[in-house]
Amino acid sequence: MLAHHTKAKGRGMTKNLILLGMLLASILAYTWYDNGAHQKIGAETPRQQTVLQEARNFSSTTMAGKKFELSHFKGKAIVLNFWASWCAPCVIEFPQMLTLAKKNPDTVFIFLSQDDDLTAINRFIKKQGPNAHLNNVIIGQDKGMKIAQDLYNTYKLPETFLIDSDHRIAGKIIGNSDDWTGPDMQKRITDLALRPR
Amino acid sequence: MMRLLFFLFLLFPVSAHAAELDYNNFSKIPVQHEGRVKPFDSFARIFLRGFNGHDSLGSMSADAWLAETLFDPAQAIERPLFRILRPELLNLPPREKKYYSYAELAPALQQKSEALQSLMKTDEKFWSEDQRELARLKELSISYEQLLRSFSFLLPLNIEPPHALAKELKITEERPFTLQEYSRYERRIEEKVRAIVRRKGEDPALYTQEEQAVARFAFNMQILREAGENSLLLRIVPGQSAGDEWFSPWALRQSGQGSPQSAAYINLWQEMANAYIAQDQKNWNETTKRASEYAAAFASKPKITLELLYNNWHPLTLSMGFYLLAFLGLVLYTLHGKSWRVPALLCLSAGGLLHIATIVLRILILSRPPVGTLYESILFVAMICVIVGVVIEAIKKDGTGILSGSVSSLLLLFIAQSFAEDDTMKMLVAVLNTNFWLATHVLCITIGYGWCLIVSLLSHVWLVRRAMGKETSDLTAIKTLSAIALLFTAVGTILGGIWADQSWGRFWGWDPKENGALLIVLWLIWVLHGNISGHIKRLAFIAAMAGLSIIVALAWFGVNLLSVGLHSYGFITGVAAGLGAFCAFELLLIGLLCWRITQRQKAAA
Repeated sequence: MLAHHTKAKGRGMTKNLILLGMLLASILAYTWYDNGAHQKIGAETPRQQTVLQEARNFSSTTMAGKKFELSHFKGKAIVLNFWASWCAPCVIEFPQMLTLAKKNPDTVFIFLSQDDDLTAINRFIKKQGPNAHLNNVIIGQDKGMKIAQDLYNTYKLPETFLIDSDHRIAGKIIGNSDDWTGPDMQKRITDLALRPR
Repeated sequence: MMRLLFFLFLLFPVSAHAAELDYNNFSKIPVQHEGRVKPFDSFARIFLRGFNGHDSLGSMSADAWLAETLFDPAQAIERPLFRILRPELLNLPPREKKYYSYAELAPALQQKSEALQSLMKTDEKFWSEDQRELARLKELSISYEQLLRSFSFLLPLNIEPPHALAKELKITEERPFTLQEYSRYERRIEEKVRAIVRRKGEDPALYTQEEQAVARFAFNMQILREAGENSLLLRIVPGQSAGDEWFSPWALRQSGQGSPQSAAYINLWQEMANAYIAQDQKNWNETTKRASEYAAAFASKPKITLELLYNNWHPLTLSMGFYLLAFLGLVLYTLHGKSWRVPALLCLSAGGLLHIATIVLRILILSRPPVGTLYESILFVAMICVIVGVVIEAIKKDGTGILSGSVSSLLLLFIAQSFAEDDTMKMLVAVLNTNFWLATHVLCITIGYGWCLIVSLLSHVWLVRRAMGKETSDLTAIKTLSAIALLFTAVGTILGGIWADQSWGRFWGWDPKENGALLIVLWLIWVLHGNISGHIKRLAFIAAMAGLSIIVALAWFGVNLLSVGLHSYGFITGVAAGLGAFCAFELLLIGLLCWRITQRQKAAA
């Protein structure tokens, strides 16, 4: 009787141990699976997968009164800068950007000013010397912030969009950069033109 | 200042609400909140629950409430939204339902602003209940203001620029005047005001009527803008890439993270706001659909769908209903015989399945193991209790399993309701956010709690039956179950030590939470070994096992009340009285039952 009882008890214990083992195994299996799933997510890092945004087309007029559209420069890398003559950081970086434009004649530099007063823009350009009249430099006015605010969601100055030759936005510089004439920026500009199409 | 900001909400016109809009698409729009992307529906429910304790505002759904808050703030501030249990603190008129509008709350808080300012300089630990309530209301009002102003730059304003100024600056009247429109002219208007101040000083009494109008207009716009700039809660604009931080419309403007893509998205919200204001069903449906589809590309669509399912389906409430039915079935079984046992077991099983579905949904939505917060631990332990109850019933077929499963889960889910308001399914603190340890240590410990509670409940049943002079089973089942409870709690505690060693650099630090876990283990070891060695007799053994509920309650909730140690993420307040009452009740009940059994034994002898 006692032997039978002990045997039954032993069977019950074995069953419990099997159940426990299964539970622990399933926890471990879940953990293994879950860690694997997370690694997978990590592997396809969203940043690497990002589809570059299209630059929105716009039209404006140069200070010389010539109409232009962003789409006219398809196939060329573009540096699109929003600035104003009353914006101190813009004033600092403007000549540096012109120097960069001179070094990169195949890249188009578009400067859109938020000044309301055209004479203020002209006065400012005059101070910049010959670099402001390079063939690849276009200076226009963004009246009423229609391009900056409505198309590019830009409210603060200066802000600069780096647009590749397929007219996709490859980068954005918020505020002024102190490196416009440095090697890193030069590399970014070169890469813009070289981006695979 | 606050009064001024409050009155600025009146600068927005009230829209006419003709027919109810369809919020189906609106509810699906993804938003980033508390570290994860969730549907608007969840976001709305979390805030509404925080303000008034419910998932809806009368007959108004959470989504409809959120839409009104965002797009029609002037109307929204008049709704009795805030549940204020002690209105006398703010000199608000007593009201049967205790709901007050922001239009009532804001001026009342303004009167307490000095008291609140000095209160904020003191340590929260020393606050009285009244002070805590005041601080809570202040915090709620700040969150609400942020929501109200989320789109303050897009919404048409009730004021227009002074006529002469509009003419001079050629401000178009084709579009409704918004803060967004104002920003096109802001610099020139500010220059104008500066010129006036230069000419005539800062006293407006010296200005002409026209100058006064310009200065007042510029001032109002500036206040509106500055107030809006702090609105960071509504993170609806996805970052550049799928894993990036999302931005609120105002934060996007401030941070310079705008892009053509975000410009198009903000324009879509502008259209949505216009459709809401005009109560234009067609445009509303179209814009909300487009917005939900656009942002869904940056979120996980299945997760959004599952979360909406979770919000609308309330599987846990359904399972509670089944547990209640199971308990009623058990009562009928006791009163009217065997035929009621199977229906009761089926109800318990159906409730259990819905309970499991709840937990599985949460795992899928949060992408982590099911237990990360106190609320979740209660849900999980309740689930374990039900599973164990069903298994016991399947083996014993005498109603014990149904009783232990239904009573323990109902009690636990009832307790969980007190923590449900804080359950926002938020991301866990860094130290907890590890799936390995959540899936091993935390689950082991909580499974252990579940077994412990079942052991305690069965011991109670044993004591009650014996006290009533009824037949009782032998102790084998309770001993086996307690051994399993010991295994889980012991392994869980050791795993916790290893985790602590990895996270905090020490295996054991006599932290209250660690001591609590150890207390359960030591209690079980003591009682089991005492019984095996013959030092603890049968009645004492069962009484000690019944008292396991007290030990578990202290380890589970009690240690969190101490607010000491490294487990700060688990600290709670406000349950001390309930916990004390529970412990006292249990001690009294077990003591009385033991006394009664002893009396019976003596009488029998």
